[in-house]
Amino acid sequence: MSIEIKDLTKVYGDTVALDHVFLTFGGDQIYGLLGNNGAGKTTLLSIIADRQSATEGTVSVDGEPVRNNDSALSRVFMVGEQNLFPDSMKVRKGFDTAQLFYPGFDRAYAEAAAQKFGLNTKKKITSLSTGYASIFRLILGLSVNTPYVIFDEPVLGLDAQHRDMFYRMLMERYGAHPATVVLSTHLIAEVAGLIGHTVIIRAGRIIKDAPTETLTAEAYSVSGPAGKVDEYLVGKNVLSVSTLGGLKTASVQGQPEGGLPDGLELSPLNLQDYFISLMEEEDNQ
Amino acid sequence: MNRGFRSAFRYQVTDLLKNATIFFAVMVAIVAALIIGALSIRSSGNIEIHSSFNGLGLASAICQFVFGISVSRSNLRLCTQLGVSRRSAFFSLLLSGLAVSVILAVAGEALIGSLQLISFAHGRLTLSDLYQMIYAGASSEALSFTQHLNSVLMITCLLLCCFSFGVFFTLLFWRLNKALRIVVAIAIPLAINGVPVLLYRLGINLKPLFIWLSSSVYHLDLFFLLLTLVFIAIEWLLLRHTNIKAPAFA
Repeated sequence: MSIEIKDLTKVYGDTVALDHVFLTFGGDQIYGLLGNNGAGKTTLLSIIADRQSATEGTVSVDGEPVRNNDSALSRVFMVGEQNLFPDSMKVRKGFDTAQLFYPGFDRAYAEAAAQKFGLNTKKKITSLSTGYASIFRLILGLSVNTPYVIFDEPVLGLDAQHRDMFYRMLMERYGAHPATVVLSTHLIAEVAGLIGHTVIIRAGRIIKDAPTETLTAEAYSVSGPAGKVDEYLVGKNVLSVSTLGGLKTASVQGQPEGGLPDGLELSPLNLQDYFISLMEEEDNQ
Repeated sequence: MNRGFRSAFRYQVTDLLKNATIFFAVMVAIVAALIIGALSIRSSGNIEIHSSFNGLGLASAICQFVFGISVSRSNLRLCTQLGVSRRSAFFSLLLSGLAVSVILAVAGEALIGSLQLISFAHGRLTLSDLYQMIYAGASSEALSFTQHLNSVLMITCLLLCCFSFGVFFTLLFWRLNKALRIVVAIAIPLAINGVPVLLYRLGINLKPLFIWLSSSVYHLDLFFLLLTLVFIAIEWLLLRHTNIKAPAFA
């Protein structure tokens, strides 16, 4: 029971947006899809939801190809950055329509969530502010109860309080109705505690696909006076280095070995630091 | 018929019917105003005032063309958002267009047919529609049941053709970039007006086609259906690989 992506390639003119991508999303886990701007995240998610067609390769949901397949597509709900609802539709009508298409749509939950967020259900969807338009789509994503839910930049335009509310509600929902959730976001630090599995995409290629714990355990951070850090780093696989005054911080691939010189401090790498280090390493290559 | 198709059809047919009801209510108001006017105006002296109305079928056709243009993109977007494949979304849109075409044709026939009873009694008001004008003669008495059926069939085929023409337009413009849109926007009216002139200059006479079309209502039905099938085929080719995204201003 999974979304299987095999050898997926998407080419726009002379730009390769996705380059032979192989991925699996499943097992009722929360996935983080991370990547820089233009890495191919939205293209990948749009192909999964059959909003775009692939140049090569296949996407299947529970063994069925998604292309022109209602049965496969009905099991995936994508909360995208864009509003695909008609201009004249009001929020309440949007809920009615979602209910018509998804028998498992939890209307009571959607209404309660709208109230919690302060979303006016009598307003037209297109007249909502960026933040509330995102909230409307988030509520749909939390209420549809499909086995696969994809959130592409879900918290776009949301203030800190609403972002926190969304993360809490997502975890509550996930606890009550486990599903495979894919979160694509730039706010890595905020979602790091939610995602069990991380996929990192860069220039259309998947460069990491592993449990989040495994990824962050692959590297550590060392900081201290610049000279001592430089000495320590000799012979080590350094992912990234930053200097502030006389202090230097470096991210190092692998596990700390041997004794730690006085004045240096080791710390585990969090997901955001790991991501930045990895991107810097890729930039250097 | 799977659930996605059923849901898409239900949504789209309801959406189209809502618009069609408004259109029909306006047409009823126009016809009612015309009847009231015709009945209340007295002929003075030797001048006989005579009113006629025969544009319901044509107005419905324009309306269906506009519906085809205005609803298709937004409905296809919505269906995509709600887990319906583009194939089901597209064919349920066409089925909805057919359903509304039938309803408008039947309602129009019923309206004109029933109002003709008043107009025949009055004498100064002529109400007819396309079928009657082309195949039965505008001045003919009430149509037979078979003629009414033929009229409904003809208007249905015309409305479906216009609806699919509207869908064709909107999908074509969806796929084209800005420069090509301008080219096509200029080229289409030029082609519509220029091709007959060009054919005439080339010595190709379209008169036999028009004679054939006017010789039997079934020929015209067939012509509209063939045009519809051509539009549908091109539309599907256009839609198959379209990147479904929100309008630029959203």
